[in-house]
Order: sequence, then structure tokens, then C-alpha cells
Amino acid sequence: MPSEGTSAPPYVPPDQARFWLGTLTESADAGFVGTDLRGVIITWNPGAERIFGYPPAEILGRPISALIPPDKQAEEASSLARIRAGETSVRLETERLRKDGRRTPVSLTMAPVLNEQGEAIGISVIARDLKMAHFVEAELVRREAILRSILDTVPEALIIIGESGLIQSFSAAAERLSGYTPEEVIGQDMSVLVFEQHREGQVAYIARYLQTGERHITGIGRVVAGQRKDGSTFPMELSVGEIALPGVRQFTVFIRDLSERQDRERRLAELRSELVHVSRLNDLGQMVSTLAHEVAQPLTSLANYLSGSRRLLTAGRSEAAEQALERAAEQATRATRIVQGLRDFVRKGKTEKRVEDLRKTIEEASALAMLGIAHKLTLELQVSPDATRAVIDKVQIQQVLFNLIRNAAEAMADNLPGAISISVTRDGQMAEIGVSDTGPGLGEEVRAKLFRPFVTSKPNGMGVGLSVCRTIVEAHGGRIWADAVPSGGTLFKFTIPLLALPSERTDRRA
Amino acid sequence: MNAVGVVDDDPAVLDSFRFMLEVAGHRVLTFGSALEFLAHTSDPPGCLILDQQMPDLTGLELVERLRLEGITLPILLVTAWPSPAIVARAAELGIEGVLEKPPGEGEVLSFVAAHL
Repeated sequence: MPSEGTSAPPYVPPDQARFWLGTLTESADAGFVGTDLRGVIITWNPGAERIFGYPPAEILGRPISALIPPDKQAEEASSLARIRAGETSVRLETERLRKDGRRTPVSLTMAPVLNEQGEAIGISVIARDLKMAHFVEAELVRREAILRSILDTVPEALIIIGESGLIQSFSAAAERLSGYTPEEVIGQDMSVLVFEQHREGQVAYIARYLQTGERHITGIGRVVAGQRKDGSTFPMELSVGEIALPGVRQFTVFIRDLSERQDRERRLAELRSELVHVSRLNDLGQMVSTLAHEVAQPLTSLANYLSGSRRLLTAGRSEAAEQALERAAEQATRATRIVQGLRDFVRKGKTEKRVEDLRKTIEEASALAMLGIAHKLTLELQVSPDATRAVIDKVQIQQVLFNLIRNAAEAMADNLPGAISISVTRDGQMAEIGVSDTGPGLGEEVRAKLFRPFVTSKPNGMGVGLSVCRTIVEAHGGRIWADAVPSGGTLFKFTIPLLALPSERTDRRA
Repeated sequence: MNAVGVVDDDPAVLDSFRFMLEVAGHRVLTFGSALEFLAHTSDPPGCLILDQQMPDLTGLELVERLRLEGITLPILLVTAWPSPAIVARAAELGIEGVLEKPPGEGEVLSFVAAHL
């Protein structure tokens, strides 16, 4: 091999220049065509052969106009005029004729070839085949149209977000769901669709995923609180998928409004609760009938003995009266025992008690109770670490919570903004659960009567609800009561048995 | 004089009715069941205070028997649960009155006074 040569100017020794240029010319994809000043083709490379179909022997010496379709002649003339006028580079996209007569899209770069004296000795034309580029462009347009069609017709609300969570595309269904037009949200962070008070958390959640790539954000089923343009909230289910593209991270997010489903579930839960209540009433009806009969007996006897005793006393026959009164007292005792027996029966009532996590129990009941509450409320839950698990019939205690929370929410309907505060603390062996609201509060008289059946302070009568709550709580061995909150509002409290700590359990057994 | 009959399966109720009516000056015959009453043929009472809820024969069933035999004894039905059905049937059987337990003293005595 000859010497490597120095890497210093001139980098290509003048006598070797033609080797370099020759190789470049031979290997280029682009067509290199050179013409003299009359337009006769005097250089032709393999690239040009590929593009136009002519081998050198068939085109060298022929005028370049052979390659130019009739409707492009004027354009060519004007390009040449520009070069003659002194432009050193003319670029255009146009069409030329192949050997087989077909037109082919090309991009051309034309330049004058100058000699040492700066005189033009010819024209150089570099041609690039635009067929592929046009094809790709057409394909892009086609795919864009398909995407648009999908976005317009997919019944689910679909948005496409970029790596930073910004919305890039917004389907028609997403428009209908959220009330936003694409123009209003494209470019904004996806969290614009999330309930205001939760936005920070949601943004953090997505950001965390995008940074760490943790996969649990993708897939189906994350439910968050969504917010429409008009401010109304709805339960929103997100399904996120990552679009597999090298170098660019994009995500498809399907959004579902679960209101209807949750509405149905809530109605079912309410129905179930009503059913339980009705069946209790049925049992209650039976019990009342039995009770009425059993208590009626000693009461009848009591009344008879008393009436006779009165007459005896009026007649001065106190000894006989005394005897009768003794029997009257016996009947009174009998009646008392019957009532006590009834209370025992109610307390023992059928329940399925299991160890339950109190936070989860309360959160579920709250979610259900707060559904469909249109006005703005905050709900706060605090569970003391020493009162986390209880032995309860979860469905029943949730009924109690559902009642109390809905009562609280309704109490605050005219007193916005409102706050419901739920607390769980330990009181010996029991958990004390408090539900407070910032409503107008209840008077002492009303509070005293709250848990009796059919006593209500409200026109649409939730009175039966509280009486059932009392039955449930007392069946768990707890009690339920209502306090006034000094700053305004009502605080309902009830107690339920905590899961005993191992140390306590051993103590109990001993 | 005619006696007041009382039919009730609860001994305390029976005894207390007897006491109350005797102190009010009446002669009383007591029966612990409908069958016991049916078996008693001598010295028939002038009117009857009858409990509905009884183990072998209910008060209404007893009255059906009596009406079938053409006995038109004045009857006061006393019951803890005067349901519409019971009240209707009592009316059909020509029972003079249906009272809810515990009955008011005045009502029982005025029935007896009116029909003895």
C-alpha cells in the first residue's frame, strides 16, 4: 500500500482527487448527471441509471430533454435561466421520464460547473428518487386518517399522552365524557381530567411510572376520581398501555366513567340493606306479635287484680286487697321477664362476625356513601394504630357507617362547605368510632330520641335507619350515641369489639 | 243467679278475672280450655268471656261449635292481636264484642252487666 499520507491540507492530493470523486460518484444512490451548456448529457452514474433506467451507453450524448416530460419543459427552462443568471444552486421537486416512458418523482439539485477561470462549462444535476418518500408520505396520511377514524368512532374515551403526561390526542368519546374539546386539552397534563383535590397525587403517580417504568400503572383497573369541565366528579377507571416505539414514549389511556356501574352497585347495596332491614322488620313483626300476646297475659291479670283490689280497699277489706296486690306484683314480674327475654333475643341476633380491618371497612363504606353526593364535602379518616382490627359483621357495621355518613352529608347540604370527620380510637377492649359533621347540629331533645324506631327529625324519615343501627351495634355488644359538637354539628359515636391483642387473649383465658 | 263464664288457658289470667268479677259481685265459673267448657253441661253461664289464643281449640273455633249446636250465649272475645280477619269472623259468628288484651275494666263489667 502506498503511504497513508499526511492528514494535513491538502487532505486529498490533487493527483488522487479523481479516485475519490470517482468512487463517490460510482457508489452514490443519487443520480449524478452532468450536461454541457447545450444540455447534452456528458456524465452519468449508476445512481442515475437506477433512477431513469438508461445504461450510460444509451443516454450519453443525448439531450437532457429526453428525460423531461412535456409539461415540465417550461420549469426546466426557468431553472436554467436562474443558473445563467448566476444562482449557484437550484432545488426543485418535479417529475422526469424513465426509459420505460413512466413518470417518476424526483428532487433535483442543479448547479453550474465552473472552470478555473470561473466560466461555466456545464450543468450538474443531482437527482434523488422521491418514489419512496411519496409512498411513505401517502402511507402516513393514510395511517393518520385511520387513527382519526378510530379516535372519532371508538366508543371508549381514549387519549394519547406523551412521556411527560401531556395529552396529544383526544377521542370524540373523551370529549363527550369530559366536556372538553380537543383544543382545550391537547398540550395539557393528563391530570386536568382528575378531580382537583387529587391532582397532585395523580400527577406524582404517573410521573413515578414514567420515571421508573414500574408496570403497575399499565393494564386495567385503576379507579380514581375524575372531574369534567363543568366541575362535576365521577369515578374514573384508567387503562394505560404503552405504545411500543423506539426512542419515543407514548401511552394510550382509556377512560371509563364508572358512575353507572357504581350507581347500580350502590342501588344493589341499598336494596340489600333494605332487604336485610325488611326481613328484620318481618322477624320484628313476628316478634312483636308474639310479644304482644305474651305480655298481654300478665298485663290483663295485673289490670284485673288491681281493679278488684281498688274495690276491696274502698270496701275496707285491706287484707284481701293485700293478697290480690301480691298476685298483681307477681304478674308485673312476669311481664318484665318477658321483655328481658326479648332483649336477649335481639342481642343474640344472627350475625357473622369476623376479624376485619377497620380502615378498609370504613373506606369502603365511605366511598359508597359519598357516591352521588353533589355538593363539595371533605371526608377525613383517622385510625389510631392501636385500634386497627375489630371482630365484626362487616356488612352490618358498614350499614351503620353508611347511615351515619349519609346523615352527616345531608345535614350539611345547606351548610357548605362541609367536612365529615371519622375517627377510630381505642377504649379498653372496644374501638370507638366517631362520625362528625359541621352541620347545624341537633337539639338535646332530638338527640335523646334519635335511636328510637320511627322517631325522625327529617321529613323523609331516616329515623328507622338509626334504630336499626342501634340494633346492630348492640348486637355487637357496643353502644351508640350522639353528642353535640361545641363548634357546631353533630358527633355520632359507636363502639364495637376490637380484636384482642395476644396478651389480652391469654389474660382472658386465664 | 247466672254465672259469668271465663275461658282462658293462662291460669293467672283466669284467676284474675275470677277475682275481679267476684269482687264486683258476680258468680264466676272458670275453664282452662275450650274442651273443658264444652264438657261442662250443668249450670251453664249467662255470658262468656273468651280468650282467642288457646292450644286445642281457639276461641273462634269454640264459638263455631256453640253456634252449630244452636247455643246463643252472649260472648266477649278477648285477644292480644285483634287482626281484621279475627274481627270479621267474630262478626260473622254473631259475637257481641271483641276486646284487645288487656281489656279495660269498665268494658268487661259493662258487657257482663248488659248480657248476664
